[in-house]
Amino acid sequence: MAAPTAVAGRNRGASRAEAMARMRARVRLPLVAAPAGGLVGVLGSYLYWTLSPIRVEGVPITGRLADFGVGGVRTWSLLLALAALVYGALVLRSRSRSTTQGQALARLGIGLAVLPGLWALTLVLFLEAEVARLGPGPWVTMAGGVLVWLGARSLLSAPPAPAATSWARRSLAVDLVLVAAAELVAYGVFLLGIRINDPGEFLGFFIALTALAATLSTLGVFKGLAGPFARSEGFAIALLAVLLLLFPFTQEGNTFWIQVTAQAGLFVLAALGLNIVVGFAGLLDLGYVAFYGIGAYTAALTGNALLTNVNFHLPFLLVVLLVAPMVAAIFGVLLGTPTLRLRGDYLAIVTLGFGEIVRITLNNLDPLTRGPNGISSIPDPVVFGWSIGTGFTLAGYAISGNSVYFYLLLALIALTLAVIYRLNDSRIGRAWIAVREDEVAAAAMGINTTVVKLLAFAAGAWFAGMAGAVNAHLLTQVSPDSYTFPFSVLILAMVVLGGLGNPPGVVLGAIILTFLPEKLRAFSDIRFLVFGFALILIMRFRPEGLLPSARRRRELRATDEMAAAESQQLIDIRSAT
Amino acid sequence: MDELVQQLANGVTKGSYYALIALGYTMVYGIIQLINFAHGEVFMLGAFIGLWTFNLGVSAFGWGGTSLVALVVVLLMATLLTPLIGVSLERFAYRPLRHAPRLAPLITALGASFALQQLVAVFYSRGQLAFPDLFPNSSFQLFGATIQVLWVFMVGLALLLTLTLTAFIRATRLGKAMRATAEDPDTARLMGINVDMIIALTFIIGSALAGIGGVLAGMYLGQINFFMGFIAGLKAFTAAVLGGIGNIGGAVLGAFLLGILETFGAAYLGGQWQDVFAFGVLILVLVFRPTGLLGERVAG
Repeated sequence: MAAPTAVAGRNRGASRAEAMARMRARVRLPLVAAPAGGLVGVLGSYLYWTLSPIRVEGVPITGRLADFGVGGVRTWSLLLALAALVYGALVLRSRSRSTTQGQALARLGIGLAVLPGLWALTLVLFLEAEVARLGPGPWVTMAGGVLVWLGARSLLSAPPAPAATSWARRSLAVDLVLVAAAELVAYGVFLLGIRINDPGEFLGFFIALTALAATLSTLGVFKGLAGPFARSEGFAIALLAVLLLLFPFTQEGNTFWIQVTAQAGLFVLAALGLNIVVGFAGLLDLGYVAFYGIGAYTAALTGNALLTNVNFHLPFLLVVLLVAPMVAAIFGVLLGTPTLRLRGDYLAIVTLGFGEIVRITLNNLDPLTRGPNGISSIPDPVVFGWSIGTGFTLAGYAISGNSVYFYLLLALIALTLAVIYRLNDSRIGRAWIAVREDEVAAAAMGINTTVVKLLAFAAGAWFAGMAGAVNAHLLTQVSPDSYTFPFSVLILAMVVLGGLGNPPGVVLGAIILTFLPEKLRAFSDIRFLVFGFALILIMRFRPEGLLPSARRRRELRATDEMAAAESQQLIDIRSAT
Repeated sequence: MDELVQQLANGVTKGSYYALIALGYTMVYGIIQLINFAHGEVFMLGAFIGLWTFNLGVSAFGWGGTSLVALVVVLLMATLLTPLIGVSLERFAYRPLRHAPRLAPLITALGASFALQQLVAVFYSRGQLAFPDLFPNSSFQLFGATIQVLWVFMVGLALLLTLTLTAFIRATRLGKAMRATAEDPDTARLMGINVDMIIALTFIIGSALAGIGGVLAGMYLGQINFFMGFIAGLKAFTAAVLGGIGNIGGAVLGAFLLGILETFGAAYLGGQWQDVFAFGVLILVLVFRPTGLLGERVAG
């Protein structure tokens, strides 16, 4: 450990890293390989993917895979291959090539290579098919994807494109059309995803979707769309509301996915609450499930349940809007008052301990909670004499009880979002951010950091309590086993995946992490394993999440150009004064 | 009186494996100020490596029942393999984030803990597995309490390892480098200390101790599962905080104290409240004496 060795070690490491970088840069092909790879991918999508029909638990995998043609998972690889072919040809013909185009093309290539690979892997690993029964299709498609990627790498040395900006206003009509198109496409993709039942095909659909979204993101489409959306906010929200209200009618009487969507709504509510604590105030709460459970038990105890030791009834709307959230928030304050004075990382472990304490207490406080049995047969809530589980009839359309739950959650989420945005723009919201960024500086500015953190904690608990209360009625029962540590991690994963501190991102994260496990039930064994690795990988490669808030992105990517530009600006201001 | 001594003995035994986990927590926290959530899983993996080694020994060499060879080999394998896990965690999960905001490595640590648990659950077993009695199942009477020889072995081994570790940190060159890194990594680097190597070493030592703790806990509890690291890790962390985090003597003292408090709590309040009791202690300590009993200290 003498000085010379350490220094020599570092130099050797650096030169090795350089050599690696040089070697990596050499891995490329001429650009023409990109559209050619797309063509190979198209061919591969048409070829046989399996030699004979493969059955999973007796049900054959959809989309005739054992002949020449498209269908099933092949539709999605064909889509990606066509995108690579067309876009590759466009880039080849364009005069002003840029690295950005190369990155976009590379993403299509990676998607095209990963799709058949992952499909084959899951088929072999989890559905116990044999490699020998796979046809040439997946391998040819994979080769096409690699070709596209290699071709795209020839643009590594091209000049970078100017940074993407939001699209400027052309006219009101253009803005409205763009907003409507974006929302309709997103809605259509969502409905399409729900319709795909076969796990293999869904995997293909999901990868194709991810690759296309990543490509569009690289090309600055999403950033561009931010302009029209910001300018016609009212229209965007109104259209979204209409589309969401129409959702139950798209399911043709099949209530399963309405139920799942209602469940997603619960997760959205809980994740929005946790986002206040973790995203806004920067406090890691690992016992969040405790507040959810407290809300659920409050609703169960006051909800006229059949199997309960407490016969004390309160009106549902009062419980869900006030009592359950209030009880949860009170517990939040009780836990927070002593602990929030502590350093941030102690808080994580104390909240974790608190989550366990609540679970064990629910398990053992028999007179009140009926112990491990929990409270069951909780009836559907009754609002002004109408039991919402019975649904209603509107202009000849029967609307089922599940749809009513869905609408109820939609309303609660809208309310929550409104509150959260107002909070975030308020003095308290700014104080949260100040505390998150630098507690000492915030205290020096006169912010009472303990009170501010306590408010975040209570607000987060409030929405968890609200979600828990609806959950109790939706599932008709509560038991301590439903409120365990993995649930806290799941909600945290939703917040982190979507984008810490950005409500739309959190909503997206919650929706993805509800539907994905539901769609990939065949792999439910490894679900939590994937969550664990996903948390590590997201923190490593995209700490700001899928839809980052602008501030968070800057904070987590210190080397980001924007941050550099900003600090340069600061220096300019300082030197000028 | 007999009851009291019996509970005391139980508590001290429990404290011995809490101590072995707590040492790793406290060392890692002392050196990079990270709560290594995955440390409890390293402990769990130690137990599983022990079981796996034993099963291997049974099929390859016909081990059966108690045997000194089996005990030594199992302990050795746990000591040798768990550091690999600890070092890979450090290298691939924590090191890239060393300069990121504090929330990032915490979330990563949580993800790693979850991933390790699930790796065992998915690829090894989700159930309760019986852990073999590697140690002679004999006991003796002391002040009217029944004391198993295994318990004496556990406490003795834990104390011996702690003393060795203290000597290593106080007296060797590497120990000195460790103390320097804990105090000020940048200055330590300027003094020619390979800080990355020292941090990796900390993870190696911590993981090895947790691995041994895992085997001991397996023998003491008689059964292991993939979830055991979560609660044990949490309690070991409580112990480290109780003694004063970053402080090696404190971690061991805290662990024994927590073990004793917990057994008495369970005996007089009912076993189902045992965990509540431990976490209650954690919250109380953090509220009234966040620096712990012996005070916070950087390694040593």
